[in-house]
Amino acid sequence: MILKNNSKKGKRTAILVVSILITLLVIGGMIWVFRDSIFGNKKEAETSEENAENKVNYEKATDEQVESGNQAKEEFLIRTGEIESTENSNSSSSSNIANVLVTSANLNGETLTVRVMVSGVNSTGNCTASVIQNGQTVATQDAETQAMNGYYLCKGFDFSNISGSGTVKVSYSDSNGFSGEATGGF
Amino acid sequence: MDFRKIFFGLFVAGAILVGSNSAHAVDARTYSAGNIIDDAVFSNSDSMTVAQIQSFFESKVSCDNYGRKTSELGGGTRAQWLAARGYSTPIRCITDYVENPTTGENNYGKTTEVSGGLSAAQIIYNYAKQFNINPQALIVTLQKENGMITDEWPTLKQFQESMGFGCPDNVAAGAPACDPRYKSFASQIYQAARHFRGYMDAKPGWYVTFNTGWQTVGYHPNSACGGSSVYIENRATVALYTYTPYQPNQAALNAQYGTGDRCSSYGNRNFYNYFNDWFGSTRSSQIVRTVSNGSLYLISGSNKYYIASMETFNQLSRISNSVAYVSQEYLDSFATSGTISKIVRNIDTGAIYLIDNGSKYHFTSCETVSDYGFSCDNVPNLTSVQIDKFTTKTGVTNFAKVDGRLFYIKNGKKAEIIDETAMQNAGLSGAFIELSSSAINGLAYSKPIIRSDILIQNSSNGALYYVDETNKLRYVNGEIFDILSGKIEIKSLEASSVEKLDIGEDFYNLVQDETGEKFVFGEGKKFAVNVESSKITKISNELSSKIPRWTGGTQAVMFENSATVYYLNGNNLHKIFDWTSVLSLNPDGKIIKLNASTKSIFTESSKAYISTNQLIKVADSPTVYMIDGFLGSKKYLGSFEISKNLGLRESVMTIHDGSLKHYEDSGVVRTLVNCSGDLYLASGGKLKYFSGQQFEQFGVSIDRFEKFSPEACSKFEKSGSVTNFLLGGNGAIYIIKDGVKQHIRSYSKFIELGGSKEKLLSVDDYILNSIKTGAQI
Repeated sequence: MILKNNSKKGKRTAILVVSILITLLVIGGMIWVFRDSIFGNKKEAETSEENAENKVNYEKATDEQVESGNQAKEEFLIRTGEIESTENSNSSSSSNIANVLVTSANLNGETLTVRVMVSGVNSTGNCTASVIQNGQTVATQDAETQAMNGYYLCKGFDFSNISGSGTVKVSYSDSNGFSGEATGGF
Repeated sequence: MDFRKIFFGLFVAGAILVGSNSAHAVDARTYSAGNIIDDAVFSNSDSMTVAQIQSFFESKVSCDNYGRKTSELGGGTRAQWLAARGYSTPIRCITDYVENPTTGENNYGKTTEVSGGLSAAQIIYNYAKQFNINPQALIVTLQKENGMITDEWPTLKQFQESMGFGCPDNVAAGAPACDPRYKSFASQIYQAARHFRGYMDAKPGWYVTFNTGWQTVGYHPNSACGGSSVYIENRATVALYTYTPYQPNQAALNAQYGTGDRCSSYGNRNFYNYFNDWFGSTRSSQIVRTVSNGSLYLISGSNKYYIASMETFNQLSRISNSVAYVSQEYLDSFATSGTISKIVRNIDTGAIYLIDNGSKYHFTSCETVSDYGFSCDNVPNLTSVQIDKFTTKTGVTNFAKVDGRLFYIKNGKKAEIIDETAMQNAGLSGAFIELSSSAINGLAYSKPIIRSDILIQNSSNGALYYVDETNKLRYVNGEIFDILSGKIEIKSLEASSVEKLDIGEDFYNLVQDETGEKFVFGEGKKFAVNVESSKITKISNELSSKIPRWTGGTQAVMFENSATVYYLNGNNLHKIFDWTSVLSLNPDGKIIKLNASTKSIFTESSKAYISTNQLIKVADSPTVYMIDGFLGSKKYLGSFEISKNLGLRESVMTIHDGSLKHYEDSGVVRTLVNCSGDLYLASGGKLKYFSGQQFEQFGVSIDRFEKFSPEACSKFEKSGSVTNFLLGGNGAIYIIKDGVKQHIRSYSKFIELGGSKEKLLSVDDYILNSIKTGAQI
């Protein structure tokens, strides 16, 4: 009988201790979740401070950051020929297709500003842009390309005396046989 | 049960919960394609010193200078991998790489000192400063281009082509991967910083792939992957896309730092991730200042607008709720375009808005803009993105509701409107817009729009005014307010509005309604008076009708805080000494209690009011008088027998001041009474009327009849007519006939002559002496 009583008492004590600990953990969690409300909006103030001073993180780089850096390095080494790609390349360069993209076709007043990037080519080339309105070509301009950081850009185009809406059709070709075209609306 | 295990488990759980904050990382999915980094952050060349850059590098990588670790790329150790490609040790990392920017000589694979060499940190710092680009942007670009910052064993080529500048994605067979003109670390950093600045500024001759506004940005160099239309908000984002012309697709963003799908590109995503994780938010306030000058500016497009007040700063909180520190050079790169306040224009649509409390209200005309004190000619231009931060509300009208108050905004001034009825009376109509006080606090007050017959309270000091029929304000004291309270609307006006109104004379205690009737006030009621005064306030019949009237025609009044009772007679107050006099004015004894201040309207007369027919004497004299008439005169009373025959009250009032002297002497009280020509004989307390025939029979001279005032006469009791039989004071009975009196010597003879007890009038000697005496009978 005595042993049985001790066992019951022990269980009650255990339940009590566990209950207290769970309660403390829940209260702690609540305080943590609502710490901004309880202790003032400290986080907001710090955020503002960060915005103002761009707080620098001097902690060690995370594994993800290092891995991502290694990935960039590997791509760099492939691009610069220091290592070879393990993947089968299916780049457009092998098919002489220039990737042409009209990045910008904005009408400011009566001036239509068109910007076109060309990628997948390995030299400068020539671009021709035509402004088409109501099915009619109303203006055409030619421009050379300029090497950018990993791609080429058609120099120009700025069409004057344009109003209303329409499309711009841009074609590209170079001496290496790359060609392509794209359209953009304005 | 092992409690130690339980406790430890909970402790660990708590520690994980608490510790989770320290490992915060940006979620790549917060990447904003139209705004990768704010201009101010991108241009903050003051963000780090050389030492800070160096410390940062050292925190991120521990260089494997001798390549002893196993190569991740195969080929044995790192040193062996490098040796196979012609590199020797020591390997140099970003932490210890040194280069002469002029010659390109560096310390990679060497232990000798490089003449004129600068550390990578110094080179980055120098060109960041030179082109006013945040060195952190250059550092992050280094990392996203080839992992330089975290690389324990970079190749020399990684330094020499570190920013990928002059390195197209595809090169012709046999051509170098990168342009040899830029083959040094310094050159790469220089060109990257220079081009970032060039793209930012869009200087003439610079062809920039993108612009702000709607642009098409691809996902991948393979055009088959497509792209999307992106609204590029700022020049820094233009610069990044021009440098790396692809945006991450959703797979790339979902992957955080990892790999997405075949159409994913990572350059700008990684720029965003690294910058946020290493240097804080790429977003800066568009409200900026320099470290040395506290002046705040809002940056918008190529303009900066001075923020002159904290109030304006608060109004702009939808755009930015913090202030970014920027370099003076960055600040100077924006055109100073005036001061921003509450009115802005969308530079894309031209629409002009009033901004207030996080909302924008569209101005539909320049006239309305002018009404709000601004001009269409000089409105700060904000971008659509900035404008869109404000919640769209209705169009601006000339009517604003501010903290419950109504205002009419016109010609750069604000007029408080007391209520919509006043607005209608003024011929105004229109919808109200809800604004905060700061939206219109710069406008001067003009004359408020009010209406008559209301109370206006000055919200600052609580003073109350009645608005009369001419819209003048009349100050209302507490006593008057007690009268008007609950009977008239009370409206509140700001002190500045009250100052614009005409303040007339005070609201007097004497008022006149539209019928011409005049009133004073007492105990919340109006009391009709007939006074002449210039200090009179005209009120409407409507208001007058709401104030209850003292009922009863009494003129006995008294004033608050005083026990003195007065007879109110026109403008004059006459003291009343006795209750009889009060009752003479009002048989029910009612006394009107008037406000204390009302007394000043009247003139206190030195002549007290003593009711007519009252017997009175002064304290220091036995002489008794009878008051004759309202505020009339006094008649000497020779004996109480006379007053008894007249029916006067026996009590004699004694007064102690000089009031009686203001009552003129008008004769002697007689028992022969002349009331406006009607003649009476007073007997036994009543007046007996003389018919014409009897007057002739008595033969008494008319002069013997004492004239009394009508008021006195009205108080005498009149009963029956004079008979021919008189009873003298000595008991003698007389018969009056043919102008003489004859003593009847026996009672039997009296009966014989037709006499009776009822016909016998008891008279005093004055009457008997007034009749000639004949022979006895």
